[in-house]
Amino acid sequence: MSAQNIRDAVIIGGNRIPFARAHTAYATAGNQDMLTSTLNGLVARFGLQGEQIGTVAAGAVMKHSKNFNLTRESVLGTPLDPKTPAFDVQMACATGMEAIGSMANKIKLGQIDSAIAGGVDSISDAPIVVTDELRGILMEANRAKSVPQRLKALAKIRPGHLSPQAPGVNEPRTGMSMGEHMAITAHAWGITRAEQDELALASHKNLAAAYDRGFFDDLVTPFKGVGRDTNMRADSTLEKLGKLSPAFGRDLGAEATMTAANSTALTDGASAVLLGSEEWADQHDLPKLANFIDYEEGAVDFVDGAEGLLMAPAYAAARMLKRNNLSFSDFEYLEIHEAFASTVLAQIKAWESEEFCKNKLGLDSALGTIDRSRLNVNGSSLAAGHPFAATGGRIVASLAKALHGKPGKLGFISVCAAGGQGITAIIEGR
Amino acid sequence: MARDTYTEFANTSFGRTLTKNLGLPQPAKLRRHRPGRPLIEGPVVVLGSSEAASALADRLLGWDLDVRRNVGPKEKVAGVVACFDSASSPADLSSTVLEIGMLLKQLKPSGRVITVSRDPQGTSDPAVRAARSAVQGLTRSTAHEMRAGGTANGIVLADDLDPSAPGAAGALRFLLSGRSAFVSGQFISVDSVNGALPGNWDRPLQGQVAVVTGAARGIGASIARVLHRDGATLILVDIPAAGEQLAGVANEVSGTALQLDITAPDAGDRILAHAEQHHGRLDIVVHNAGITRDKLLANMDESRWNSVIAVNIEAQLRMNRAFLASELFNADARGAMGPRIISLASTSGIAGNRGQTNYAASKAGVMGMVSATAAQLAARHGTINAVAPGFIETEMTAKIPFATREVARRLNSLNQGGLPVDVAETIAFLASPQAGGTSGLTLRVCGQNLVGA
Amino acid sequence: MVTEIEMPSLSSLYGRAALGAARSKLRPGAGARTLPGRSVLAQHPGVSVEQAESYRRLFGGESFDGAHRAALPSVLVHIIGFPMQMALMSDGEFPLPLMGLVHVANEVEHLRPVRVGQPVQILVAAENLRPHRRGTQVDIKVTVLEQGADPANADSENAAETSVLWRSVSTYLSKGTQLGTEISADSGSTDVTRSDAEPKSFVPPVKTASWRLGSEAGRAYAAVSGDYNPIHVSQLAAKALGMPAAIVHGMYCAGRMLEGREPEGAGHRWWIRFEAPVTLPGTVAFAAEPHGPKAVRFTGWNPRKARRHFSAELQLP
Repeated sequence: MSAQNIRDAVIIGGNRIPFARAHTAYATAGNQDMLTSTLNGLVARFGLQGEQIGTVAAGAVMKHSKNFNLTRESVLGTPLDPKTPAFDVQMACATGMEAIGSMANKIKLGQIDSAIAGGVDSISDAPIVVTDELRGILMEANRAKSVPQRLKALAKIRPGHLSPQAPGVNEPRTGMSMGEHMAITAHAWGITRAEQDELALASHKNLAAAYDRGFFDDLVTPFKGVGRDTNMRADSTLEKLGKLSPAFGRDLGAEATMTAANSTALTDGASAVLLGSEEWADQHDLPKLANFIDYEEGAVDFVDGAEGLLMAPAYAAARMLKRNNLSFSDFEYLEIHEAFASTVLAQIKAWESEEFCKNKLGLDSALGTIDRSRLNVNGSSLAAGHPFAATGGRIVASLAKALHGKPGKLGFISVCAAGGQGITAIIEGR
Repeated sequence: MARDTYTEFANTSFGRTLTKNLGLPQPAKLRRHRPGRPLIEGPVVVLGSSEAASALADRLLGWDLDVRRNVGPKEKVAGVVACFDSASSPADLSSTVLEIGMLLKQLKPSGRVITVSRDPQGTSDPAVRAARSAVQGLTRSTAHEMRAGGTANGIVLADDLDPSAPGAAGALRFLLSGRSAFVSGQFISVDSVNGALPGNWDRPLQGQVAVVTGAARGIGASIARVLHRDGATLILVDIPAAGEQLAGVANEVSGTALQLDITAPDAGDRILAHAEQHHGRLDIVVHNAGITRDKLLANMDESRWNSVIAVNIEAQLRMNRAFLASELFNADARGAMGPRIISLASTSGIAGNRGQTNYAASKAGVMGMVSATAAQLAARHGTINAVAPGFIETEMTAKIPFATREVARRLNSLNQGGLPVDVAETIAFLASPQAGGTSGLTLRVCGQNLVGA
Repeated sequence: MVTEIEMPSLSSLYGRAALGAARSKLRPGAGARTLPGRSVLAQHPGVSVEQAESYRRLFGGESFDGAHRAALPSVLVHIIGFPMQMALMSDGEFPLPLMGLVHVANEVEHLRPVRVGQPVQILVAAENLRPHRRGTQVDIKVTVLEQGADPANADSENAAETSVLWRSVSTYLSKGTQLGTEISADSGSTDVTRSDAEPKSFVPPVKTASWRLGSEAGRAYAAVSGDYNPIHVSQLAAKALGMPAAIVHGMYCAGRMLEGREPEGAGHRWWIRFEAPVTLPGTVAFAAEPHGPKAVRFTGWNPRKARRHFSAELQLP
C-alpha cells in the first residue's frame, strides 16, 4: 500500500477461547493455561504442529511475576517447534493490537515470514500483592545476614500488614477507575443513557446472531467446557437494560448514565492471530483472509483532565486516515472496541464534531460520520467481554473473517487503552 | 473409557485360577496390532487344495510367514486359513472342516480361523449355493467355539474373482492381524480386483487425506489416531462445543481441527473447502459422528427422534451428495485407488434394541445408504462401507448401569467389550487401498455379539 | 532576636506537648498573652538520600537521580522545618497549647531549588497571633536559607540576591482559646485564611483524580515526615481528641497534589487552605484546573458528602 519493497502482511486466521466473566468458569485457570490453550487451538485449526513460527508476541495486562516469560512458556506448552521465539508485549488494553501490528510490520519488512500475536488476561487469577510495608520487612529479612537479624526484621510484621492488596485497575496517576474517567468524558460529550443502552443491546444481539450462524465456528475454541462468551445475553431488552442503576459517575447524580450493562464486565480470556507473508501462507496451504494495512498508536494528556482517558483513538484515527488518504466512508466495517458504550459514542461524536476536529485534530472540518450499520456488526466487548490484552486478537480475527471474500474492502479498528492510550488500525479483505 | 476391571483381574495369575474354578467367563487379553511387531507369530496352516489356497499360500509366503500345509499333533498354530472356494456341494466341505477341528486345540491364544469361500449369490445352482452358504454357517459356529481370544471369520470372494486380487490379500492380512482383534464370526466380501497392496504395510494410508467426523473423543479420536498411525493426513471434525478436545486430538495426530455442526446444510461444502485449502485433496471420509437419545417408542418425542435421524443419517446423506458431486473427491485424479467412505453403523441397527427405535432406524439407514451408494462410487473406483460396533468401552457405554453393562460386555464370543481402537482398526482397514475390492459392506466389530449401544 | 538551637527531635517535642496539654494556657477570661518576640534558628545537615527516597515512594514520584530530578519537593522542605515549628510552639512561652492546634492553611514560596544532602539553616518565628471566631490563630513563619547565610536577610524581597531558598507561612488555629482584647481581630489576616468568609454551598468541579486513602495513610506519612501526631496515626487517640476518626496530615494532601507539578528550577508559590479534615480510611475526590496560563487550582472534596477538604493554588514562575 505504501512504500515499495514492503510486502503484504496477511491475516491467515485466529483463535480465541470464549471469554468468561471473572471468577466464574476460568477462576482456576491462569494466564499461561489460557494462552496455551488458545495457541493449541490455533495450531490445531491450521495444522501448525511442529512448525517453527517466526515470532510469537503476546502479553497480559494483569501478570504474575512468575509469568515473566509468559508467551515463551506458553509456546513451549504447544506442539509448535520449540525453536519458535516468543516475547511478551504490554500496552494495557491495546496489548493485542500492538502485538499484531508490530508483528505485521516485521512480516512486511521481511524480517520474519510468519507470526502469532495475541494476548490473554485473567481477573480471576490476578496477582495479589502484599502491602508495601510487609514487602519492605520481607525484603529486609531476606537481606539479613544472621538469624537474629532476620528475626528482628520479621518481628516488625503487624496483623494489618497481612491483608492482601488486590491489583489496581485504577489509573495510577489519578486513582480513578476507567469507568469514572469515562463517566466524565461521557458527561462532557452529552452522551445519553438511551443511546448507550441501544449500543449495548446491539452488541449482544449481533454477537448472538453471529454465533447462531456459525460465524465463530473457526474463530473460537471452547475452554473448560465453555462454548460461548458467558457475558453474552441474547435475550436482553432495552427495558431490562433501562432498569439498571448507574455504576459509574454516581457523583453526577441524576445525570449518571453508565450502568453495568453499558460498561464491559471484567472477563477472563485469551486470543491469538496467525499472520504470514503471502508466500508463507501459500507454501503452507493456508487461507488468506485479509491484509494488515496499517496501524497507529495514540496517547492523550488525561492526567489533569485536558482530554478524556479513552479518547486517544480519536487522535490516532485522524493521523492514520490522513496518512492513508482515507475517510470513514471508505470502510466496509468498523470495529470500535466497546470499553464502554460511551467510549464508542464519544469517539464517534468527536469525529463528527467540527469543533473537535478543528480545534483538537487540526483539521479543516469534521472527520466524517460513522454508518452505524457497519459498526461492530458481529458484536463487540459489551457482549463478548473484554479480557484486556485479548481484545485486539478478537477484533482482528473477526474483522478479517468478515472481510474475507471481499477483496479490497476495508475494515477500521479502534481500541482505547489505559494510560490515555489507544491504537487504530486498517485491514483489507481479500 | 470404562475400565473393564474384571478382565484385568481375570488376567492376573490369581484371577485366572479363581475365575476358572468358579466357572466364570475367562476373557482373554486380545492380541492387538502394534507397528513393527510381526503380523502373526507362529505357523499359519493353509487348508484346502483350491485355486484360492495356492494363491493365498503364496501371499502368506510373500509376507515371510511360517506357512504350512500340515503340522504335527503337538505343534502350536497361530492361524488356520481354510479354503472352500472350489466346493460345489455341502458334501465337499467335510475333509477341510474336520482338519480345522483338529487344529483348534493346537491354536495359540488369539488364534485365527479364516474360511475362504465364494459368494452364494454368485450362483443359481442350488448345490453350489448351499455349499457356499454352509461355509458361512460353519464359520459363525466356529467363532462361537473359539477360546483364548481367538476369532473365526470368512472371506467371501465374488464368483469369478481371481483369488490373487489385492482385496483378497488385504482381507486375509487384516483378519490374521491384531487389527481384527474384536472382529469375529464376520465375513469380508471381496467383489472386485480394485485396490492395491501398500508398499509399506505399516503406512498403508501414506499420502492420503482423511476427514473424520465426531473426532473429539471416544471412537472418533481413536479412528484419528489409527488413521494417523497408518500414514493418513487428517481433518478432524466435531461440533464447535467439542472444540477443545478436538484441538487436543488434532494436535496429537498433527491434523487440522474443523469445528462444524454436520447437520448444517453446507457441512459437506465446508469440509471440501477446508480439504481443498489445506491439502488440495480428499481421499477418505469417516462418518463417525452420531448421537443417542434413547426412549421407548411409546415415550418418544419429536426432538429425540428428529435429532438422531438428522445427525446419524440425514447429515451423512447430505454430505455424501456434496462429496460425490465434487471434483476433489474424485477417483480419476488419484490413479489406482478411488475415494473411500466409511460410516459408523451399529449392531442396534442390525438386531434392534429396546429404547433405540430412533438410533436403530438411523443406523439401519446407514447400512441401506452404504449398500446403495456403493454403485455410485464403483464408477470412480471408490468404496463405501459401514462398520457396526457392538459393545465398545467408551464414555457413552460407561454411562450404562453397571449390571446391564456387565452383561452386555460379556455376552459375546470374546467375553469382553471391545475397545475404540478395535473399531478404528477396522475402519482404517476399510479405508486402505488393500480393501479396494470391498464395497457396500457392513462389517461388525462386536466380538460376535448382538447387544448394541 | 535570633536564638540558635540544635535541631530538635519531634518525638521529644510530642512528649512535652502532652505535658503542655495538661497545663492551662489561654482560657476564657484569662489574661492576654503575646507571642515571644524571638526567632529560632537551627542548622540542618540536609535531607538525606533515605528520607528523599521514602518521600518519593510514598507519592510514587520520579526518582531523585540528580539528572532528571535533583530539587526537593517543597513539602519535603516543609518536613525538615516542621520540628522547628514544633519547638517554637511547644516552648513554655508560646501562648497556645500545642495539643489541639489545627493546621488551617499553608503558603509556600519556593524561591530556589533545594537539593538532596544540601545543608541549610532553618529560621522560624511566630507572628500574627489573632482572634478567630472559633478560637485563636497564629502564623508560623519558616525560612530556609543557604548554609552560612546571614539570617538577617530572611525577609528580603530580593531572594535571588540573598540566600533564601524557601519560605512558608503555616497558619494554625487553637480552637476554643480566646485572646484578650489588646490584639485586634483583623490584624495580620492573610489571604489564605479567608475561608470563613466564603459561602457554605460548594459545587464540586469536574473530578480529575480520586485518592483512596487507607487507614495506614497517616502512619505512612508519619514514617516519612516524623510527624507521629497521634491524631494521624491512631484511631483511638483521634477519637480521644474529639475527631470522628484518625485524619490524614494536611501536608500529605499538599504533597500529593504537588507531586509531578512543581518546576524543577523552583521559583513557584503555592498555597493550600484546609477545611474539613480527611478521615481515614477515606476517598478524596480531586480536581486540578488551569487557572490562567501560569496557575493551577486544586480542590479536594468528599465525593459522597460534597464537602470540601481543601482548596489550593500553584503559581508557576
